[in-house]
Amino acid sequence: MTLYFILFLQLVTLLTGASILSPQKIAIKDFIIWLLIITIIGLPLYNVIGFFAIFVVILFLIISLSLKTKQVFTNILSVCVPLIIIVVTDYFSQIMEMYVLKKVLNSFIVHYDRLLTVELLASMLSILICCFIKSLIGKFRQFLTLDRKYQSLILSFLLLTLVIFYFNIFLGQIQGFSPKHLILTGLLFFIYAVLLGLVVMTLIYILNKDAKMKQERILNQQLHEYTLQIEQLYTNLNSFRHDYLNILLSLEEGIRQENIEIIKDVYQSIIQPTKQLVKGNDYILGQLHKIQVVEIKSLLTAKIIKSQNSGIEVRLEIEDPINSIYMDTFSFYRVFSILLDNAIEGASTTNHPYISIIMIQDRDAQQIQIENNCEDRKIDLQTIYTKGYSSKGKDRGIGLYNVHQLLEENKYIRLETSYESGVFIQTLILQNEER
Amino acid sequence: MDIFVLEDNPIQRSRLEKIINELIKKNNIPCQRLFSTASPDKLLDELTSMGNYHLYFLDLEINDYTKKGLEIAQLIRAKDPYGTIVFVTTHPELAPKTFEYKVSALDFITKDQDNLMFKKNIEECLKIASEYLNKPISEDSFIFKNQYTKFQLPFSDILYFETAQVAHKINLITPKKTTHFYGRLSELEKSDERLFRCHRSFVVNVSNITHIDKKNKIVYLKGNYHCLVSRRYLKELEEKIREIEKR
Repeated sequence: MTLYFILFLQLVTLLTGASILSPQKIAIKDFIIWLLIITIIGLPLYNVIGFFAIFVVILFLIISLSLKTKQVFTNILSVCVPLIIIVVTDYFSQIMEMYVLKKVLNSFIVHYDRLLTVELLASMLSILICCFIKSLIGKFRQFLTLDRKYQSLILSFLLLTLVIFYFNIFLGQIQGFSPKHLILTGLLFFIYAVLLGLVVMTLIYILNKDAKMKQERILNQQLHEYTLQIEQLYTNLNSFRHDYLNILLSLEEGIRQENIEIIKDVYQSIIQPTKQLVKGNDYILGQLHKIQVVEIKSLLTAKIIKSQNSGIEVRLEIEDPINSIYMDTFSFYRVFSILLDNAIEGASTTNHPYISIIMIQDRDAQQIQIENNCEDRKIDLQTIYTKGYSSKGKDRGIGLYNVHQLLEENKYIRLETSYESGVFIQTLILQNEER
Repeated sequence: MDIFVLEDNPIQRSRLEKIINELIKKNNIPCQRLFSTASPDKLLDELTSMGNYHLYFLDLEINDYTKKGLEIAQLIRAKDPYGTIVFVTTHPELAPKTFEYKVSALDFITKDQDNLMFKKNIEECLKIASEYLNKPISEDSFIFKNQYTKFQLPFSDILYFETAQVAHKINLITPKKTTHFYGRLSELEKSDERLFRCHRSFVVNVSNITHIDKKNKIVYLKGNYHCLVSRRYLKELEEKIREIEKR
């Protein structure tokens, strides 16, 4: 009976660990249902195939989690990592019990259930470690993006570890656990787990450094484009200056002759059209000089050029000098670029596409508004936030849910979304944290 | 209502004065006086002596005051919080939203459009400003403020608040806009007695409820929006609706 209770306790710990680590909130109802199912599958199966029953259990958990979210990699991680932790803490607690707890507890209670004590200790430790890992993930979230090939590498490492661990346990079970054997395997497992963790961390660190370099290269490229555009504008302006002298000459001639007809003619044929030149939208990039944040300046340059090249009218309004962003620049960059991409994509479905970008700043807050027109159809603002939703149809665009996830860590930010008859407006309001 | 014109170009100034005088007569605008000047300081001096609800036509670029149009407007706004500010400008890169946000400017009128359109724009502004005179100042507005965020909107716009799918965030649903911000339903529930926590993840604006589908536990709100109600709050919600209707 105790054995079954211990197994049950392990399943509870596993599920708790998984729900702590999983970025997806697991409802209490699901938690209980899954616990029931894995208990019903796991315990009888244990009688038949022993410890290997755990693989059926984790398979079930991974599948059920994946039915909820599509992030299979994260799901496998959030199930397998707690399992490895449980195995290691189990060994650790056995050793602890043998050398420390036994002495302490014996002085209070004469008879206590050894296995149960060990298991309780292991469970508590596992959950604590899971919480610790979760807080680590929270801190370093922005560095934790990985390529698919590296994901599979890490996964195969994890699975291999689990197989080795359980094979070892299986062998140990056949030969019986002697204290020496326990310490040795415990130590080996511990070192192995720590090493594995270190290797994974280093890998992620290096990969992210690489990604950052790539990002910087893109940034440089965008800035280069900005310079080219400004140079082009300057050349245009220069040729205008040249024309301007000619215009003055013709006007002078008209005035000298006191011939109103010539003046009229010059005005209508030459000066009037230059109005367009001065008003034209080409100078929009010039307004970007108000933005001192290099990343944002180059992002805007890239997106504006991209839109203008695909025939989208861009309106830009930046009146206040922006010396800094009132939140982490990197996160803001990602959110901003998603919102801009969405706007460009939405606008491009219309006949007269436009996007308008407005940045307003005062001491309390920065307000960034992105507006675009789109096909006039009913968009339900009630469901637009829901996961997997994209107004552009299935599997297209990046939904607002993902934007929300990017904003999750930041409390000082507010996102307003409005839609009315073909005009879609997203406004980010960043409250100044220092005030 | 007084009308103020700030414009440093004499030709433009008299053009504007002429048009305004014409339109006042045509539309019967209740204008006590028309004060026009080229100097921002004179205008600001004039302001100290009188009440509010006035109408201002401001040129954005005043000589020696370049780029300070906004500052002048902010000074006026400080003295006359309910006045109507309109910018008349040739500024090629207009910043209407910035001005709308910072001094709640009503409109931007560009000088270099044809006379008819120019007149029409001014007429519009005169009408709107005179309508403000008869309107009560404060609408019933909902102000939310916590350590991390603050915003304000007409209370009647609120349909409901819901917990977002990411932790600790709330979505506010109004007919035209949804707002995603950091907060807790419990603090919202307490902020006004017309707001009621009808479900673990919903706080509803009771005064906007049209009917309740008791069988399916759905609350319907104006504009065909809906949210959920849980069984144990159903009765309390119905009571709340009656209580609010009584008022």
